[in-house]
Amino acid sequence: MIMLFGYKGKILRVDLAKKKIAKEDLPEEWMRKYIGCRGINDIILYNEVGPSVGPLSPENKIIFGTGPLEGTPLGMGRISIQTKYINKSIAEGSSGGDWGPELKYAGYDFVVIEKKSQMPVYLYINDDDVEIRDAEDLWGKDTRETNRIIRERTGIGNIQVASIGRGAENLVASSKVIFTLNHAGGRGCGTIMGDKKLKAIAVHGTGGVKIKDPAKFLQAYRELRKRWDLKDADDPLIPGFAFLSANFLLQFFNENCMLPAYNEQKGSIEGFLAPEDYLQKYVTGPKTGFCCPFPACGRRYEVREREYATFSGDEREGGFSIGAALVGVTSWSASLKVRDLCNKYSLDEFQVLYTIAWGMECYEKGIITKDDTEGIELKFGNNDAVVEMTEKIASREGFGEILANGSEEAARVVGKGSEKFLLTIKGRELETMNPRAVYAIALALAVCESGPDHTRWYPPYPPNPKMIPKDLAIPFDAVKASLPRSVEGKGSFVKWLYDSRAVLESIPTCVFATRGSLKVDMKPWLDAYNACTGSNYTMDEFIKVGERIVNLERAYIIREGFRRADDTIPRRMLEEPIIDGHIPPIGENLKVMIDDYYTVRGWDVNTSIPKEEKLRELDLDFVIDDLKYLR
Amino acid sequence: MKRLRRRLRMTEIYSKSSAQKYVYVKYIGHITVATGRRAEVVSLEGIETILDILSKLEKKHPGLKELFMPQGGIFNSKTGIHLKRAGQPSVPISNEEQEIKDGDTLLFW
Repeated sequence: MIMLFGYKGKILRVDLAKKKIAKEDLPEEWMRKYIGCRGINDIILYNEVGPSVGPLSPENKIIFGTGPLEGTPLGMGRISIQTKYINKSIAEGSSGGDWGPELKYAGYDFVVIEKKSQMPVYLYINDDDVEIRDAEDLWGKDTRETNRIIRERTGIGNIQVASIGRGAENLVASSKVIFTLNHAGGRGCGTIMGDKKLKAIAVHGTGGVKIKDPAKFLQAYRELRKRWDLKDADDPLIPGFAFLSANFLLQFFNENCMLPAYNEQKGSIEGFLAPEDYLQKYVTGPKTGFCCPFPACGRRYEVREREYATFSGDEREGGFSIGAALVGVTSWSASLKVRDLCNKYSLDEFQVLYTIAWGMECYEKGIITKDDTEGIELKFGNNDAVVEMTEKIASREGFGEILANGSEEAARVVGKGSEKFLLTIKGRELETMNPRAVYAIALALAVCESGPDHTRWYPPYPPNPKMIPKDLAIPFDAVKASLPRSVEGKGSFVKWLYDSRAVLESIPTCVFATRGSLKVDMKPWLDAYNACTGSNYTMDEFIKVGERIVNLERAYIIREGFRRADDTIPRRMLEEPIIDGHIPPIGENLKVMIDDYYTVRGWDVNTSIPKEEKLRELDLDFVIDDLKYLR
Repeated sequence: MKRLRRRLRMTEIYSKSSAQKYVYVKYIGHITVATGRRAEVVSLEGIETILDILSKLEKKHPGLKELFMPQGGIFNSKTGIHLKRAGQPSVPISNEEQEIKDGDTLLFW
């Protein structure tokens, strides 16, 4: 038996129809070629969920994946969840929290969920003890309640629970999986969990992770901690986030007219949500994830105002509060209430806010009326309407039934030119990142295989070029890449972002740890990976894994019918300026950047299909035959 | 926290005469801790570049210049400055010699 370092070497397969559980070995070739987490999830999905499999058919699968660094401090608890989404693209999302480390400690790298259960169930994993348990009485309960009940029933106070709420149970588009303490991930994976009647996966483990060279691993870890340190860090966002968390970006975006205000018709909002008010009135304590070194992504909060009374711990502060501008909400308590509802019902905040914002623009332009919305005045800035509509989306009631399928589907139902106000890519709503203000965002959004997903290419700007060490070879021009509205050099920059982040999401670690010069300097992570697993990858080989992952994902969506025409951004960004920010529309610039991107990638410029020589270079020969007749 | 908020509210806006030239300076996030205010108007007298304005602000807010221009370090390695000019999109500033004009808005973050 080979001694594995970093990995457990096991895949847990769960057949929900036959109630059968199997443990199998993780192929060594996969570890070498795809490393783990997102990368190995990809190869499982590519091999086992082909184009003939319908997203809501029993043959679709959901894969929960960890990687070699999972369970160590550098893994930061990141896991990747993957499935075939309703529109046949890849639904993939990563999450923090403690669930991933527990899975590893229980002895598994991956869990593959297969087939469908007739009745609601949950999966119980406690080291070798794995059971499919009845969850009929949990169906309909919110994620927080589900978490509490499972902990009581199992008698394990620190068991980690990944669960879904009412939204996913009702197959609301883009629903997420919510982990203990409201860590969320897997945009769209919750919907497929709901379809499979899988209410939750509860995990507890007592093992550990073997590291090949602990001294070298510790050295890499110390190097990274030093570069993340609040005092010494060379990144403007570290002190800003430490002070105000991700809400720091609110004021920054508002001043620069980069907020997605009023369905992205404007870039700023009068009376925007001041982050200091949030800190003073609502925050009750810090909240973090497994070994996360940043106090950045969330706080615990409590709202005492009667109409929106709620309490929660939330990790998606920035997304929510910036997203509030979409619907014109200028009340923290209403914004926090909507956040809490999304966490409880496992709704995706972006899907909810963008879809309601689309409905508001339709309402204000007379395309829909109070008759359609059952008396709700769906106007920008109507806090009550946003809260009420979120409830209705989760329950598929009234106009919520139309919005629950996402804004593209809603526009098909409503018609009357309402598709002009859509802000979607590949059928998925955007994520509040402003493509007109920063062209790297526009390109990255357009070419993303899974639809909008900022974790695959964050951050969309390089470090200050003067801070990049002279001996560090980077495959793009940092000066050109740092110009926000220039097309030059964006292809190679965005390619590098995608490839490097695919590796980081596979070892795994948190892409938000790429601060300052670490945005381009991958050496500490390479050192940590080699020390952990005993591999001796060079930097080129390390980044090549990321390129292989991106090409495999591209091959997957090509096989599902996606082509160059799908790599675009919403009409509004191409044709309309951000008037208050004097920011022009992107227009033909997008085409130029996409041509550049495909060229540096070695993809056909007309179709976006990877060329044969590129696939051979990446050791993806098995993909060539699959794509042969699609060229 | 309450004391900090009181300080933040003390936004100082000077009256502007037509003969003089000014820039508007806004402080974002943690920078407000160093300045005790969110915004102010600064006369352009004797000022041509970002570096000049940092030197002028240093007299009022000791330590501010070093945040943006560390001694022996790299300009804006731990901070950011955006420039908003009338009728144009805001742009990040990567050069301390960037020229400042009457009516510009500078965002320090």
